[in-house]
Amino acid sequence: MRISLPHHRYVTALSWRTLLALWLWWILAEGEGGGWGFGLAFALLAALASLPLLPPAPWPPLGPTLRGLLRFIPFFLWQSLQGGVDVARRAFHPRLPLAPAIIHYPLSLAPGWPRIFFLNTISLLPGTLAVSLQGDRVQVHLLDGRGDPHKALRQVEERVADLFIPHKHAMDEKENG
Amino acid sequence: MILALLATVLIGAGLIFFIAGTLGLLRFPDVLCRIHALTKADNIGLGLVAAGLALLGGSWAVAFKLLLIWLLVMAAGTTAAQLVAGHSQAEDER
Amino acid sequence: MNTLLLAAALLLLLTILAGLWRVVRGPTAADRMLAAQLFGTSGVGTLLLLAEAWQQPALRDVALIFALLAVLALVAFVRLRHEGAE
Repeated sequence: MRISLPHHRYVTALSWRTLLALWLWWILAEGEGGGWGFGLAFALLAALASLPLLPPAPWPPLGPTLRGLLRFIPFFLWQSLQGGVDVARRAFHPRLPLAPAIIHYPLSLAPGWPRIFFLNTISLLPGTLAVSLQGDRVQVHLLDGRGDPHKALRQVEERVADLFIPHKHAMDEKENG
Repeated sequence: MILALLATVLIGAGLIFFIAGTLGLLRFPDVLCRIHALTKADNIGLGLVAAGLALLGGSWAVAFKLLLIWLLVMAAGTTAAQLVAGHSQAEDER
Repeated sequence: MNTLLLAAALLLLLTILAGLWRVVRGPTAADRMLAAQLFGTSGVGTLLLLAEAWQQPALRDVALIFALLAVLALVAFVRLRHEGAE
Protein backbone atom coordinates (compact mmCIF):
# COMPACT_ATOMS: atom_id res chain seq x y z
CA MET A 1 0.00 0.00 0.00
CA ARG A 2 1.30 3.41 -0.90
CA ILE A 3 -0.13 5.29 2.04
CA SER A 4 0.10 3.41 5.34
CA LEU A 5 -2.84 4.15 7.58
CA PRO A 6 -2.81 4.50 11.36
CA HIS A 7 -4.13 1.46 13.24
CA HIS A 8 -7.24 3.13 14.52
CA ARG A 9 -8.47 3.52 10.94
CA TYR A 10 -8.53 -0.27 10.64
CA VAL A 11 -10.39 -0.66 13.93
CA THR A 12 -12.97 1.93 12.85
CA ALA A 13 -13.42 0.28 9.46
CA LEU A 14 -13.72 -3.17 11.03
CA SER A 15 -16.41 -1.95 13.43
CA TRP A 16 -18.48 -0.28 10.74
CA ARG A 17 -18.21 -3.24 8.41
CA THR A 18 -19.19 -5.69 11.14
CA LEU A 19 -22.26 -3.58 11.86
CA LEU A 20 -23.10 -3.49 8.15
CA ALA A 21 -22.72 -7.28 7.87
CA LEU A 22 -24.91 -7.76 10.96
CA TRP A 23 -27.54 -5.54 9.39
CA LEU A 24 -27.43 -7.73 6.25
CA TRP A 25 -27.76 -10.80 8.46
CA TRP A 26 -30.84 -9.30 10.06
CA ILE A 27 -32.32 -8.66 6.60
CA LEU A 28 -31.52 -12.18 5.38
CA ALA A 29 -33.08 -13.74 8.47
CA GLU A 30 -36.08 -11.41 8.00
CA GLY A 31 -35.84 -10.32 11.61
CA GLU A 32 -36.18 -13.80 13.12
CA GLY A 33 -34.55 -13.93 16.54
CA GLY A 34 -32.58 -17.17 16.19
CA GLY A 35 -29.02 -17.52 15.04
CA TRP A 36 -27.60 -14.24 16.31
CA GLY A 37 -24.48 -16.05 17.58
CA PHE A 38 -23.80 -17.36 14.08
CA GLY A 39 -24.68 -13.99 12.66
CA LEU A 40 -22.18 -12.15 14.82
CA ALA A 41 -19.41 -14.67 14.11
CA PHE A 42 -19.90 -14.53 10.36
CA ALA A 43 -20.35 -10.76 10.31
CA LEU A 44 -17.00 -10.40 12.06
CA LEU A 45 -15.33 -12.89 9.71
CA ALA A 46 -16.78 -11.15 6.65
CA ALA A 47 -15.60 -7.77 7.90
CA LEU A 48 -12.10 -9.18 8.59
CA ALA A 49 -11.92 -10.75 5.13
CA SER A 50 -12.99 -7.48 3.53
CA LEU A 51 -10.06 -5.51 4.99
CA PRO A 52 -7.28 -6.85 2.73
CA LEU A 53 -9.64 -6.91 -0.29
CA LEU A 54 -10.86 -3.35 0.19
CA PRO A 55 -8.56 -1.43 2.56
CA PRO A 56 -10.05 1.57 4.36
CA ALA A 57 -9.79 4.48 1.94
CA PRO A 58 -7.71 7.53 2.77
CA TRP A 59 -9.69 10.72 3.22
CA PRO A 60 -11.46 11.99 1.15
CA PRO A 61 -13.36 8.79 0.26
CA LEU A 62 -13.35 7.61 -3.35
CA GLY A 63 -17.00 6.59 -3.34
CA PRO A 64 -20.09 8.76 -3.00
CA THR A 65 -20.59 10.51 0.32
CA LEU A 66 -23.63 9.85 2.51
CA ARG A 67 -24.70 13.48 2.30
CA GLY A 68 -24.30 13.40 -1.48
CA LEU A 69 -26.42 10.25 -1.74
CA LEU A 70 -29.21 11.81 0.32
CA ARG A 71 -29.31 14.68 -2.17
CA PHE A 72 -29.00 12.43 -5.21
CA ILE A 73 -31.57 9.70 -4.40
CA PRO A 74 -34.76 11.82 -4.70
CA PHE A 75 -33.52 13.29 -7.99
CA PHE A 76 -32.66 9.84 -9.31
CA LEU A 77 -35.93 8.21 -8.26
CA TRP A 78 -38.01 10.95 -9.84
CA GLN A 79 -35.98 11.01 -13.05
CA SER A 80 -35.95 7.22 -13.45
CA LEU A 81 -39.71 7.15 -12.91
CA GLN A 82 -39.96 9.70 -15.74
CA GLY A 83 -37.69 7.44 -17.80
CA GLY A 84 -40.06 4.52 -17.25
CA VAL A 85 -43.17 6.60 -18.01
CA ASP A 86 -41.57 8.01 -21.16
CA VAL A 87 -40.60 4.63 -22.57
CA ALA A 88 -43.95 3.07 -21.57
CA ARG A 89 -45.80 5.86 -23.38
CA ARG A 90 -43.82 5.18 -26.53
CA ALA A 91 -44.27 1.40 -26.27
CA PHE A 92 -48.07 1.67 -25.86
CA HIS A 93 -48.47 4.33 -28.57
CA PRO A 94 -49.99 2.85 -31.75
CA ARG A 95 -47.62 4.76 -34.05
CA LEU A 96 -44.50 4.08 -31.93
CA PRO A 97 -43.05 7.61 -31.71
CA LEU A 98 -39.27 7.15 -31.89
CA ALA A 99 -36.51 9.25 -33.44
CA PRO A 100 -33.37 7.31 -32.46
CA ALA A 101 -30.03 9.07 -32.65
CA ILE A 102 -26.50 8.55 -31.41
CA ILE A 103 -24.42 11.39 -30.00
CA HIS A 104 -20.91 11.63 -28.61
CA TYR A 105 -20.87 13.43 -25.31
CA PRO A 106 -17.60 14.82 -23.89
CA LEU A 107 -17.32 13.90 -20.19
CA SER A 108 -16.06 16.36 -17.63
CA LEU A 109 -16.32 13.93 -14.70
CA ALA A 110 -13.18 12.32 -13.27
CA PRO A 111 -12.43 8.69 -14.28
CA GLY A 112 -13.37 5.90 -11.88
CA TRP A 113 -16.37 6.06 -9.57
CA PRO A 114 -17.93 9.31 -10.85
CA ARG A 115 -17.88 8.14 -14.48
CA ILE A 116 -19.21 4.66 -13.76
CA PHE A 117 -21.95 6.21 -11.64
CA PHE A 118 -22.85 8.62 -14.45
CA LEU A 119 -22.97 5.96 -17.18
CA ASN A 120 -25.14 3.67 -15.09
CA THR A 121 -27.43 6.54 -14.13
CA ILE A 122 -28.16 7.90 -17.59
CA SER A 123 -29.26 4.46 -18.85
CA LEU A 124 -32.20 4.68 -16.42
CA LEU A 125 -33.12 8.30 -17.14
CA PRO A 126 -35.58 9.38 -19.87
CA GLY A 127 -34.42 8.58 -23.40
CA THR A 128 -30.69 8.11 -22.82
CA LEU A 129 -28.58 4.93 -22.95
CA ALA A 130 -24.82 4.75 -22.48
CA VAL A 131 -23.37 2.60 -25.26
CA SER A 132 -19.61 2.84 -24.95
CA LEU A 133 -16.84 4.91 -23.52
CA GLN A 134 -14.19 6.10 -25.97
CA GLY A 135 -11.49 7.99 -24.11
CA ASP A 136 -13.18 11.00 -22.54
CA ARG A 137 -16.25 10.77 -24.74
CA VAL A 138 -19.25 8.60 -24.18
CA GLN A 139 -21.42 7.32 -26.98
CA VAL A 140 -25.04 7.91 -25.98
CA HIS A 141 -28.04 6.40 -27.75
CA LEU A 142 -31.18 8.55 -27.69
CA LEU A 143 -34.77 7.41 -28.15
CA ASP A 144 -35.54 10.87 -29.44
CA GLY A 145 -32.74 12.96 -30.93
CA ARG A 146 -34.75 16.17 -30.92
CA GLY A 147 -34.35 18.68 -28.08
CA ASP A 148 -31.09 19.44 -26.33
CA PRO A 149 -29.57 16.18 -25.05
CA HIS A 150 -26.21 17.80 -24.26
CA LYS A 151 -27.83 20.22 -21.86
CA ALA A 152 -29.78 17.46 -20.11
CA LEU A 153 -26.66 15.30 -19.79
CA ARG A 154 -24.68 18.25 -18.43
CA GLN A 155 -27.27 18.67 -15.68
CA VAL A 156 -27.01 14.99 -14.73
CA GLU A 157 -23.22 15.30 -14.72
CA GLU A 158 -23.44 18.18 -12.26
CA ARG A 159 -25.72 16.10 -10.04
CA VAL A 160 -23.27 13.19 -10.12
CA ALA A 161 -20.25 15.43 -9.47
CA ASP A 162 -22.08 16.68 -6.38
CA LEU A 163 -21.98 13.13 -4.96
CA PHE A 164 -18.22 13.01 -4.67
CA ILE A 165 -15.57 15.01 -2.93
CA PRO A 166 -13.12 16.26 -5.56
CA HIS A 167 -10.21 13.88 -5.26
CA LYS A 168 -6.89 15.62 -5.25
CA HIS A 169 -5.10 12.50 -3.95
CA ALA A 170 -6.09 10.31 -6.86
CA MET A 171 -5.11 12.96 -9.38
CA ASP A 172 -1.70 13.56 -7.77
CA GLU A 173 -0.95 9.87 -7.50
CA LYS A 174 -1.83 9.37 -11.13
CA GLU A 175 0.50 12.15 -12.24
CA ASN A 176 3.40 10.95 -10.08
CA GLY A 177 2.95 7.26 -10.67
CA MET B 1 -57.11 -1.75 4.82
CA ILE B 2 -55.56 1.43 3.51
CA LEU B 3 -52.20 -0.35 3.34
CA ALA B 4 -53.73 -3.16 1.29
CA LEU B 5 -55.33 -0.65 -1.07
CA LEU B 6 -52.09 1.26 -1.50
CA ALA B 7 -50.22 -2.01 -2.07
CA THR B 8 -52.72 -3.03 -4.75
CA VAL B 9 -52.29 0.30 -6.52
CA LEU B 10 -48.46 0.05 -6.41
CA ILE B 11 -48.40 -3.56 -7.65
CA GLY B 12 -50.95 -2.77 -10.36
CA ALA B 13 -48.88 0.19 -11.56
CA GLY B 14 -45.77 -1.99 -11.51
CA LEU B 15 -47.48 -4.56 -13.73
CA ILE B 16 -48.33 -1.85 -16.27
CA PHE B 17 -44.62 -1.02 -16.51
CA PHE B 18 -43.72 -4.71 -16.90
CA ILE B 19 -46.22 -4.97 -19.77
CA ALA B 20 -44.78 -1.79 -21.32
CA GLY B 21 -41.25 -3.19 -21.14
CA THR B 22 -42.26 -6.44 -22.81
CA LEU B 23 -44.28 -4.56 -25.43
CA GLY B 24 -41.24 -2.41 -26.17
CA LEU B 25 -39.07 -5.52 -26.42
CA LEU B 26 -41.46 -6.90 -29.04
CA ARG B 27 -42.40 -3.70 -30.91
CA PHE B 28 -39.37 -1.40 -30.94
CA PRO B 29 -37.54 -1.41 -34.29
CA ASP B 30 -33.92 -2.08 -33.29
CA VAL B 31 -31.93 -3.62 -30.51
CA LEU B 32 -30.75 -0.34 -28.93
CA CYS B 33 -34.32 0.99 -28.65
CA ARG B 34 -35.41 -2.35 -27.17
CA ILE B 35 -32.73 -2.03 -24.50
CA HIS B 36 -34.19 1.35 -23.45
CA ALA B 37 -37.66 -0.15 -23.16
CA LEU B 38 -36.74 -3.18 -21.14
CA THR B 39 -34.20 -1.55 -18.81
CA LYS B 40 -36.20 1.51 -17.83
CA ALA B 41 -39.71 0.05 -17.76
CA ASP B 42 -38.86 -3.19 -15.94
CA ASN B 43 -36.74 -1.31 -13.41
CA ILE B 44 -39.69 0.88 -12.43
CA GLY B 45 -42.04 -2.12 -12.65
CA LEU B 46 -40.03 -4.18 -10.19
CA GLY B 47 -39.54 -1.17 -7.92
CA LEU B 48 -43.29 -0.58 -7.67
CA VAL B 49 -44.10 -4.26 -7.16
CA ALA B 50 -41.42 -4.49 -4.45
CA ALA B 51 -42.77 -1.33 -2.78
CA GLY B 52 -46.30 -2.76 -2.78
CA LEU B 53 -45.10 -6.07 -1.34
CA ALA B 54 -43.06 -4.23 1.30
CA LEU B 55 -46.32 -2.74 2.60
CA LEU B 56 -47.87 -6.21 2.82
CA GLY B 57 -44.80 -7.95 4.27
CA GLY B 58 -45.44 -6.64 7.75
CA SER B 59 -41.82 -6.20 8.84
CA TRP B 60 -38.95 -3.79 8.29
CA ALA B 61 -36.55 -6.65 7.61
CA VAL B 62 -38.72 -7.89 4.74
CA ALA B 63 -39.03 -4.34 3.39
CA PHE B 64 -35.23 -3.96 3.43
CA LYS B 65 -34.79 -7.33 1.75
CA LEU B 66 -37.14 -6.26 -1.04
CA LEU B 67 -35.22 -2.99 -1.36
CA LEU B 68 -31.92 -4.90 -1.52
CA ILE B 69 -33.28 -7.19 -4.26
CA TRP B 70 -34.53 -4.21 -6.25
CA LEU B 71 -31.18 -2.42 -5.95
CA LEU B 72 -29.30 -5.54 -7.11
CA VAL B 73 -31.59 -6.04 -10.09
CA MET B 74 -31.31 -2.33 -10.91
CA ALA B 75 -27.52 -2.39 -10.80
CA ALA B 76 -27.44 -5.56 -12.91
CA GLY B 77 -30.00 -4.13 -15.33
CA THR B 78 -28.31 -0.83 -16.01
CA THR B 79 -24.85 -2.39 -16.29
CA ALA B 80 -26.26 -5.09 -18.54
CA ALA B 81 -27.96 -2.47 -20.72
CA GLN B 82 -24.65 -0.78 -21.29
CA LEU B 83 -22.74 -4.02 -21.90
CA VAL B 84 -25.29 -5.39 -24.35
CA ALA B 85 -25.53 -2.03 -26.13
CA GLY B 86 -21.76 -1.71 -26.43
CA HIS B 87 -21.51 -5.28 -27.58
CA SER B 88 -24.17 -4.95 -30.27
CA GLN B 89 -22.61 -1.69 -31.47
CA ALA B 90 -19.15 -3.32 -31.69
CA GLU B 91 -20.67 -6.19 -33.68
CA ASP B 92 -22.30 -3.71 -36.08
CA GLU B 93 -19.04 -1.93 -36.77
CA ARG B 94 -17.31 -5.09 -37.89
CA MET C 1 -55.51 -10.15 -1.76
CA ASN C 2 -54.00 -13.56 -2.45
CA THR C 3 -55.97 -13.99 -5.66
CA LEU C 4 -54.73 -10.59 -6.79
CA LEU C 5 -51.12 -11.50 -6.02
CA LEU C 6 -51.44 -14.80 -7.86
CA ALA C 7 -53.02 -13.06 -10.86
CA ALA C 8 -50.13 -10.58 -10.85
CA ALA C 9 -47.61 -13.45 -10.76
CA LEU C 10 -49.40 -15.11 -13.67
CA LEU C 11 -49.25 -11.89 -15.66
CA LEU C 12 -45.49 -11.67 -15.12
CA LEU C 13 -45.16 -15.26 -16.30
CA LEU C 14 -47.03 -14.24 -19.46
CA THR C 15 -44.45 -11.48 -20.11
CA ILE C 16 -41.78 -14.19 -19.95
CA LEU C 17 -43.73 -16.20 -22.50
CA ALA C 18 -43.92 -13.13 -24.76
CA GLY C 19 -40.19 -12.64 -24.34
CA LEU C 20 -39.62 -16.13 -25.70
CA TRP C 21 -40.85 -14.83 -29.05
CA ARG C 22 -37.90 -12.43 -29.06
CA VAL C 23 -35.53 -15.30 -28.29
CA VAL C 24 -36.84 -17.29 -31.25
CA ARG C 25 -36.98 -14.27 -33.51
CA GLY C 26 -33.63 -12.68 -32.59
CA PRO C 27 -32.31 -11.43 -34.91
CA THR C 28 -29.07 -10.70 -33.03
CA ALA C 29 -27.45 -12.41 -30.06
CA ALA C 30 -27.94 -9.17 -28.14
CA ASP C 31 -31.71 -9.42 -28.67
CA ARG C 32 -31.71 -12.90 -27.21
CA MET C 33 -29.64 -11.77 -24.24
CA LEU C 34 -32.11 -8.93 -23.71
CA ALA C 35 -34.95 -11.45 -23.53
CA ALA C 36 -32.93 -13.36 -20.95
CA GLN C 37 -32.70 -10.14 -18.96
CA LEU C 38 -36.51 -9.91 -19.09
CA PHE C 39 -36.74 -13.46 -17.71
CA GLY C 40 -34.52 -12.38 -14.84
CA THR C 41 -36.52 -9.29 -13.86
CA SER C 42 -39.94 -10.87 -14.40
CA GLY C 43 -38.75 -14.03 -12.66
CA VAL C 44 -37.66 -12.06 -9.60
CA GLY C 45 -41.00 -10.23 -9.61
CA THR C 46 -42.94 -13.52 -9.87
CA LEU C 47 -41.02 -15.09 -6.99
CA LEU C 48 -41.57 -12.06 -4.76
CA LEU C 49 -45.32 -12.11 -5.47
CA LEU C 50 -45.56 -15.85 -4.80
CA ALA C 51 -43.55 -15.51 -1.57
CA GLU C 52 -46.22 -13.15 -0.27
CA ALA C 53 -49.23 -15.00 -1.67
CA TRP C 54 -48.16 -18.40 -0.34
CA GLN C 55 -46.44 -17.02 2.78
CA GLN C 56 -43.21 -18.74 1.79
CA PRO C 57 -40.39 -16.40 2.86
CA ALA C 58 -37.79 -18.77 1.37
CA LEU C 59 -38.98 -17.75 -2.11
CA ARG C 60 -37.72 -14.23 -1.38
CA ASP C 61 -34.27 -15.73 -0.83
CA VAL C 62 -34.54 -17.51 -4.17
CA ALA C 63 -35.33 -14.12 -5.73
CA LEU C 64 -32.27 -12.65 -4.01
CA ILE C 65 -30.06 -15.42 -5.45
CA PHE C 66 -31.63 -14.81 -8.89
CA ALA C 67 -30.72 -11.13 -8.63
CA LEU C 68 -27.12 -11.99 -7.73
CA LEU C 69 -26.86 -14.53 -10.55
CA ALA C 70 -28.24 -12.03 -13.07
CA VAL C 71 -25.16 -9.90 -12.54
CA LEU C 72 -22.83 -12.86 -13.14
CA ALA C 73 -24.66 -14.19 -16.21
CA LEU C 74 -24.50 -10.86 -18.00
CA VAL C 75 -20.86 -10.25 -17.32
CA ALA C 76 -20.09 -13.79 -18.51
CA PHE C 77 -22.06 -13.24 -21.71
CA VAL C 78 -20.24 -10.08 -22.65
CA ARG C 79 -16.79 -11.47 -21.74
CA LEU C 80 -17.35 -14.64 -23.74
CA ARG C 81 -18.74 -12.88 -26.78
CA HIS C 82 -15.89 -10.41 -26.83
CA GLU C 83 -13.19 -13.03 -26.43
CA GLY C 84 -14.85 -15.29 -28.98
CA ALA C 85 -14.92 -12.46 -31.49
CA GLU C 86 -11.32 -11.41 -31.20
